[in-house]
Amino acid sequence: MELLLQLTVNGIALGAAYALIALGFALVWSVTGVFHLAHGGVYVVSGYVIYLVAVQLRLPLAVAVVAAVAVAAALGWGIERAIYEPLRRRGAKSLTLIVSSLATLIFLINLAALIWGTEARRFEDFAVIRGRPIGPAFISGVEIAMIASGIVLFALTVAFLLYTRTGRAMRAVADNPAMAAIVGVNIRAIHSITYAMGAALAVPAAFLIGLQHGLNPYAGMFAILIASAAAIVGGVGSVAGAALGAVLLALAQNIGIWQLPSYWQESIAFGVLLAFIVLRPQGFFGAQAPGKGL
Amino acid sequence: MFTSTRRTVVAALAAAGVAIGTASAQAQTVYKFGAMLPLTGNAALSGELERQAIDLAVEDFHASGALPGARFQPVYEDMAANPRVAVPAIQKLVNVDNVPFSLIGYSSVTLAAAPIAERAKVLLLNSGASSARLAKASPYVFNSIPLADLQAKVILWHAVNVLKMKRIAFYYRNDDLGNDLIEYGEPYAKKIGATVVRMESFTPNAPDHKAQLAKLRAERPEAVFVVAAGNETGNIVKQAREIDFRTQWISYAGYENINTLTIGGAAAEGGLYTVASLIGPDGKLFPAAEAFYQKFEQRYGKPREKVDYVAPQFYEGARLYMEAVRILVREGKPVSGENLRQAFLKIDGFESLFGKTKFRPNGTVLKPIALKTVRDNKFQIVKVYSVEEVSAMPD
Repeated sequence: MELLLQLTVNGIALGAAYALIALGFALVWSVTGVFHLAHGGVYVVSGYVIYLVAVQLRLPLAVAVVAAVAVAAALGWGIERAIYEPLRRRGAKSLTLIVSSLATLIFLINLAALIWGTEARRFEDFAVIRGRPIGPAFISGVEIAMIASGIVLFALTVAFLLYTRTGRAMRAVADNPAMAAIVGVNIRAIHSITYAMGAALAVPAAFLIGLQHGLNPYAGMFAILIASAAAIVGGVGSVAGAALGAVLLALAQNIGIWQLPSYWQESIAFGVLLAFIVLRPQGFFGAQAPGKGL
Repeated sequence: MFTSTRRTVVAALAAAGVAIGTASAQAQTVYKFGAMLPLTGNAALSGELERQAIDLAVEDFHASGALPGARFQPVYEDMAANPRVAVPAIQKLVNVDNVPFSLIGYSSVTLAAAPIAERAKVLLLNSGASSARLAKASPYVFNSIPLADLQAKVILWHAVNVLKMKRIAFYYRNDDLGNDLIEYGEPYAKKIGATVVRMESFTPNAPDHKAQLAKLRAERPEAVFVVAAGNETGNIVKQAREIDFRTQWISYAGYENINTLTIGGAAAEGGLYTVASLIGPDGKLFPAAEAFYQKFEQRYGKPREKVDYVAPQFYEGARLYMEAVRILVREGKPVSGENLRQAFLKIDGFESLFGKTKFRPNGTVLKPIALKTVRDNKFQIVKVYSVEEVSAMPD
């Protein structure tokens, strides 16, 4: 039981971090209908911006996080304005948008590799929270931060969508963009805000996962794989489902090897994804297609 | 007589011409050789040290004047510690650069490159990989580094017989190196009286080890034999510390990676591992090793504590190649892969960084093995097992 508890703790913590990446991805997918693979590139760049400011420039961590949020938001906004919007104006199909997003992801990953190199970079120890035992298991400070930031940012995102004017407009656009436009919602502005907000949500995940595993430009590929899988498991169009899907995938990754050899770890996680696609294609809470509600 | 004299003169002139031609050719002879290094990816920091070590070896050889007129020119190819990248790299060296010889490292990479090199009769000198399978990889693969079965034997023997640790676990990368080491290490540990409490593996370059470490922790092993490469060891010991998993890490030469210190930090302290020893029976560095470290620091500003175990291996590898070329030039033979194989077997009395180096017919070497640890964030020697002591340990 000690092992099962430890694997559960590890899974929940990692799932909370994955949830932050998936949250931003699902938000963009729901509101704009774009399968935003470039989100993985934004995730990578965010981590390196924190590294640049906090480690290379030796400025306070808070400054680094604020800088990373600003850069990520600007990048998300910029991708929409410079790439997706012009393509949409020219009547590009969704497949064209996916290909352009994939190209942007690869570009950002290679840009990070060009600037910071491909060797792993390590954050200094920013441990402000000490790890502690939970019965026979142990939770590290980084894992506590992952769970705490996952819960807080998920709650803030949901509250934003439910109770703010902009959040309600985002839901309206997700539900029916044509109707939203008729009632005066500025679709262009809402899209831009959504990309910026989704990108900003990746920053804490990039930092916390970076603290645990180090920074590597190619981590963006795995991050977007997990985020998109979580969004599918959670249900197309559901932000809450994406967060839950991320936790489920991480738990499957960890608990799945309780009684099995560990080389099955990734197979188990993506087996869960396959099972959902085949048996419950709408996921946990999903509408049938993007743009049908959050 | 006249005819005879004329013939003599013509012969003398021809001989002089040949001699002048040879001298002239010698003055311009460029010996290219390959160096397949991890210049990108997780092991790029080591790759950079290796590149610098090879450059230094070439500079030192030229400065020594051991082969006047010869210019050695390394051709660097990035193999990213990845066999898929290595295959086009070796093909380029063989087909485009036409090198007769290449330095190489990483077990999977060397095993992937070996058949291509063998077909082209290009000799590979492994100076950074440890898989026991390399001993039988190809007649065109020589190993200037003691292979992992030897390193594993010494560290396991030390853990069980000196440290009296009986509960051993294994954590290894799921590739040729890891699988070969486990194939050898698990029965060996049992043979010398240990209990193998758990064996777990991980995908090469995987960043997250927490689940496997939790499984290892549950068995409360006294020692964990970790087989990792590049920055993996640092990540593993760091993540183990994060879940409060405290054990004696034991390993092979892969532990001595600069990332083990930078990423692992305090969690890497106390880990024990084995490497080919640069320390002589008098407890001091062999003179050539001392000279290497001094020149390396002078040339690149990197103190010896920050230089991992592979850089001197590649320096030695490049010097061995140049020594083999010198033997062939002396014998008047062309520098081909086949002739280099024969020349390597003739190397004797070479001023090695590791004492005397002599190749065995199967392309492996036997050298003293150092037991090392991390203390005060530095790689430090604990003990040196001589060739005789290593030979006395049960196989």
